[in-house]
This record gives sequence, C-alpha cells and structure tokens, in this order.
Amino acid sequence: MAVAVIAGAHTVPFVKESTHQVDLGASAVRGLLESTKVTRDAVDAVVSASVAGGSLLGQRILSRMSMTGIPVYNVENACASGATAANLAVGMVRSGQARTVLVVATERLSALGGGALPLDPTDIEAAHGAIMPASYAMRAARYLWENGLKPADIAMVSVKNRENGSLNPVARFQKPVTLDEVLASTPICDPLTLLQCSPNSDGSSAILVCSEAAARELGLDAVEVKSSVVTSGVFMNAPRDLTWPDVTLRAVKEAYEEAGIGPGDVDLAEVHDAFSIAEILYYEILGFCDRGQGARFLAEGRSRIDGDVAVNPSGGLISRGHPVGATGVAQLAEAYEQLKGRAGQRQVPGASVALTHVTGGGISGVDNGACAVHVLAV
Amino acid sequence: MNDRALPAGEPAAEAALHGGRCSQCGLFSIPKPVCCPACMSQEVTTDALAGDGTIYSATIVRSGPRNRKLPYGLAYVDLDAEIRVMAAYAVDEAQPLEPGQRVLVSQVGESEAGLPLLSVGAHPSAAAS
Repeated sequence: MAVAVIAGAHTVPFVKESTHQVDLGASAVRGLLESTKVTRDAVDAVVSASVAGGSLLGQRILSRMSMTGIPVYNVENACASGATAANLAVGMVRSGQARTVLVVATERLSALGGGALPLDPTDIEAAHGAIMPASYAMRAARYLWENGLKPADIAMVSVKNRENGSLNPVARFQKPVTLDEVLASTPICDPLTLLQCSPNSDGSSAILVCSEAAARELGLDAVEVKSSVVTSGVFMNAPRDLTWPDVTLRAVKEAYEEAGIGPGDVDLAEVHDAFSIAEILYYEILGFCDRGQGARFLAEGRSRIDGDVAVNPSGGLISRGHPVGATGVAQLAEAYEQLKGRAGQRQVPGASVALTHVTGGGISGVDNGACAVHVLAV
Repeated sequence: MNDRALPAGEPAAEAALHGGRCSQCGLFSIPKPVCCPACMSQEVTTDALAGDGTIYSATIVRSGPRNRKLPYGLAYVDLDAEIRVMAAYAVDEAQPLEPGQRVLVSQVGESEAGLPLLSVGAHPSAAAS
C-alpha cells in the first residue's frame, strides 16, 4: 500500500458573501497549483465536495481551467463533505488507483439567504422546528446541568477562537471579542448566543493528496496522512448521551489506532466547533482531558496555541467561518501549514502531529450523520 | 418500569403517541416506519404509547426559521417506554424546562409531510404536588 501525503494546500479567504461558487472553487484550485508549481497534467483525478453546490460542481470548476478529461468525483456528506472527499482521495492514493489527487471543497452559503440551514422537512425532528443551533443548545443545556456549570464557562470557546482567528488571514472574523460581548450577543437558542455559533460563510479550500513517491518526484513539501477515517452515525431511538457523541468517539478511536498514537501525542487539533459547546465536548472525546473537565481545560488555557494541545489555532469554525462543505479541507490545509511551520503568528511551536475532525448533519435518531477524522504528521 | 405517580382518582395518561410496533422484535417507532429499523421486518403494526416521560434537555429557540413564530421551545423527552422523542412546547419565561422534569408528551397534530407533531405538557403528578 502506498503512503499517502498532503503536498500542498490553498484556502481562499472565507467571507460572508461572494459572487459565484465556481469562481471560488477555481480560485482555490488555481492557488493550489500556483503555490505547488504542479502542472495540470500531473493531476490524475479530482474529488470535489460541496453541500449546496449542485450537480457537477467539480467539472464546472475544472472546466474553467481546462482540467476536465480526467476522473472527477462530486461528493456530499453535510459538514463532513470536504473531509470525506479527502478520505476518498487518500484511499485512491493508498490503493494505487491514482498517484496525485486534487481535492477541492467549495460552498457559497450566501446563496441560501442566511440564518440556520434548512433541514429535511420529512425528518420528524425538523418537522418540530429542529435546527442545528437547537440541537447543540440542548447538548449545552444538558452539559451545564450535569456539570453544574454556567453559560459563561462554554462561551469562553468563542473568546479563544476569535483571538486565534485574528491571527489568520483567511478567517472570516479577524477581530477578537470579549466574554461579555459573547454573552450579550443576540440569543439564538438558549444557552447559545450568536457569537457562539459558527457563521454561515462562502469559501473554498483545496489540497493535493499524493503518494509519497509522487510528491518526491514533483519536489513537493509533504506531510504524511497517518490516518483517514470516515464513519456515519448509528441509528437509535432509545435515550442516548448527547454529551458523549458516539459517532465521534468511534471515528477518533479508529484514527488513533490507525496512526498508532494517543491523545498525548497531538500538538494541534482542528475540531468541529460549529457551536461553542461542541469544542468542549470534543476536548473530552478526543481524550485531551477527563470527562466533565472540558470547561476547566479551556479556562486553564490548556487548549490555547501555547497550551498542552492547540485546539483550533485557525480560529475554528467560529472565527474562520463555516462554508459547510469546505470546512473539512480548510482544516486539513491549516494542519498542513502548521506542520510545515508556515502558520505565521498563529504557529503552534514545534508542531509535528495534527488531528482534524468534522461532523456532519442533523437527522433524527443519530447524533451526527457523518464524522471524519484525519491525523497528519511530519 | 412505568414510575408515573398519579394521584388517586386521576385518569391515567392516555396512550396518545401514535406510531408502529414491530411484530418481530417489539421495537416501537414514531412515526410508523416502512420496516423495523432494528430487524428490518415489514410486520409493523399501528400502535400507541403513553406520553409519560422525563426531560433529557430543552432549549428555547429565539432566532430561527422564518416560517415559525418565535420564540418556541424544543425538548428531548425520554419516555418511560425508553424511547426518546423531540417535542415542542409553549415558552414560559418564568419556568423554563430543565433536565430531569417529569412531563407528559401528547400528539397535537400532523406536519405538512404527515408526521406526528408532539407537544410537552405538565405531568399530572406535577399538578398534584
């Protein structure tokens, strides 16, 4: 089996509103090829991800650069779409099906008109008015109740991530916020306020996944893909513990095993902070701290860029923005830049192992529809 | 075990939540599914459950879909039959729902897609105390 590496990354700055999704994707692909000096004919296949991009988005992007004529796959897996595309590319490289695969993930959520993303009206929870902020708000309410905590204890996630995002030139929000500002922002779903919700955004990110040999031949700087996992949520209509989401637990366990590492080896993690509470839960699920200790882990600064493990040094979804299908690839791009020591002011000192994690979707009976975890290392 | 503590003389909570029960493995589902999600049997018969349950978690949606009147409440309720359902509730700012509260879930209508709409109400045992 070939060793898969990531050998280049380019993220178009995430914004509130852009003009055209094909332009976004084309800018990411062109930027990737320009930064790596890889020529179009060296790309064996392309995997394109998007949630609301419509039919043949990959071909529509690639035809702008005369890059069609090769296998192109268009994939969707809610917020895990981009990371799912990367997982498919890794599989293609490891199996020998391709040596160099370009992954591009693109979303233009401004086309949907803002607000909470619409869910399937034939889903019984959506029929009751369930929206993603409500789903996470109920996790938050339960977590606060079980652990005797206050809303401010989880709202601190936004303060940390907005500070990190202020150091990230591709982040949508580049201004830090105070705890008071987070708590006083518009109430969305109790106890979550607006600044604890990742903002709908437009954006695109691209990475190059190659075999180790191909990267060497092309003269590229590479980081190894130690593990690449995609899984889906298990259906159950019995009571379940929403503060301990099993879909992430299974994906993380598998990713650690595949990489032969444990939580103590991780220098930085880009996790799915779609809402403040999510990052707290993921500290615990990823094993960075004990169960119930997530808020304390945050308060003690142990998830800061200079902490035990830098969580969301990019600013995460809360500060970088969340163009849903593009997020997973943007996380991998951040991990690549960090491991190559090119992350500028937000550089995690001595980073050699990075983990990325996304979950996707809200459907009844599963805690998330999809989850993808990658471990990269130099 | 059903632990509802009804005062003497009160009627039992009605078996008010309609769905389907698998004739093979006994799993109850809301709404009635085309096949049992656990064992895939197609022998699923129409059945109903009592709405007695306990709040797992609840929230008040203050910003959300444009086609709904805001704010509105949403809760996950763990029924005594060990099934979790989502149900809506009318917001009472003075008395927000909290985990652990006993409630009674009832079916109040159907969505445009024909799905049962559930609502959280006070549990008879709370009214007696």
